[in-house]
Amino acid sequence: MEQNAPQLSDEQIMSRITAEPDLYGIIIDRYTDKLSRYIKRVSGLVGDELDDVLQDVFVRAYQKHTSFDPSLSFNSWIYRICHNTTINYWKKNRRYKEGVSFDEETYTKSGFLDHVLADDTTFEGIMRDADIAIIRDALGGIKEKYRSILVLRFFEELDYGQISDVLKIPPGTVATNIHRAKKALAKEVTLLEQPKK
Amino acid sequence: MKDFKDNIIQGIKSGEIRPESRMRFLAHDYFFWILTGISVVLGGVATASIIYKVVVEQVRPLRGIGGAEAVPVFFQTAPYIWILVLLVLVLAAWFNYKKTSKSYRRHNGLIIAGVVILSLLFGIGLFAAGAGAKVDDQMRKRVPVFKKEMERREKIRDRFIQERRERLQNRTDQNRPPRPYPFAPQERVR
Repeated sequence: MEQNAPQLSDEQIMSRITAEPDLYGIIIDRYTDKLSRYIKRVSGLVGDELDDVLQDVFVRAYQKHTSFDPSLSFNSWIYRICHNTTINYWKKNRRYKEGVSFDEETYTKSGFLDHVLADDTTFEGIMRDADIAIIRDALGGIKEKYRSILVLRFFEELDYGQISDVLKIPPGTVATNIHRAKKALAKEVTLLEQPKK
Repeated sequence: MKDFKDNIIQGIKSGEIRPESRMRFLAHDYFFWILTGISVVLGGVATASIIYKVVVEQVRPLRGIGGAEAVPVFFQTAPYIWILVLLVLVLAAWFNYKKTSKSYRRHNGLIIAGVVILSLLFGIGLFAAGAGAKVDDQMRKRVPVFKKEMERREKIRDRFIQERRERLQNRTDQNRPPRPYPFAPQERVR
């Protein structure tokens, strides 16, 4: 592997990995933390299961790198593979019937709320008053498509175009789904808080 | 995580993990683009036939006859077979386009509207070039059921036209002013 390899862009690396497989290690290093956080946030997977899915993501990304479209960003492309692999694994294992539970480190109230509430004040009151444990449970309780879009927008901080490329939906639908996801989250939080009051 | 990375790199080097063929992805995309194009072209042919049926076989013969009474006949003889064919082809074009790699960026409504507009434009062009009549002729020659159905509709239309003409003729006869008494000029006796 040449010395200036770490300075290469993701796209440049992907165009050379067939001839130089070692370069793929740089991609794995760059995306391991990001993608494992995403898998954890969307599916609640941890430990060996998380590692298995992550390994599968990188294997699939290598197998499919010939289909990489340079008009997309590499970031969106690998997130798409990660999203599809995670959701397939999650559905196969019937997690959707049980809901998703998250560990403490996955969500911190300040980080999540600062992002989610930044462009919407309608349910600010509901969310500000809610307990972080309830917000976590609420996120685990909403539909997968809403959870994914909230995670991509407010944790991974992808723009609407990138989310459109990851989830393969039109950019206009991204905006609509984010709005619906926030409403679903606020509703779930309210429902979970009801027995307490 | 080191093992994890090394395993993958080792798998790639040993040939255990192989990239899929780029040709396969391209062939998949081109295949569905071609099917989309074929569906739009055939949709254009169906549109040309609809325009031919409506303009040449309905509007022209019924123009000036019957007025509001011609409306039910218009609906009875409308080219429903071709309209159905056009709908199926629009759905086929939409379905095939959805299988192409970047179709997700467009709303379904926009895709359907695009396919319909393209089919209409193509159909108008084909109709102007006389393709509507040719397709109809060929269909009559090659598909007996189609011929039978078209003849049935033509009978309904022609019967209506005949009845209207006869009624108009009778009305004209009844409303004709009486001949001047004692004789009409042409019957004057010298």
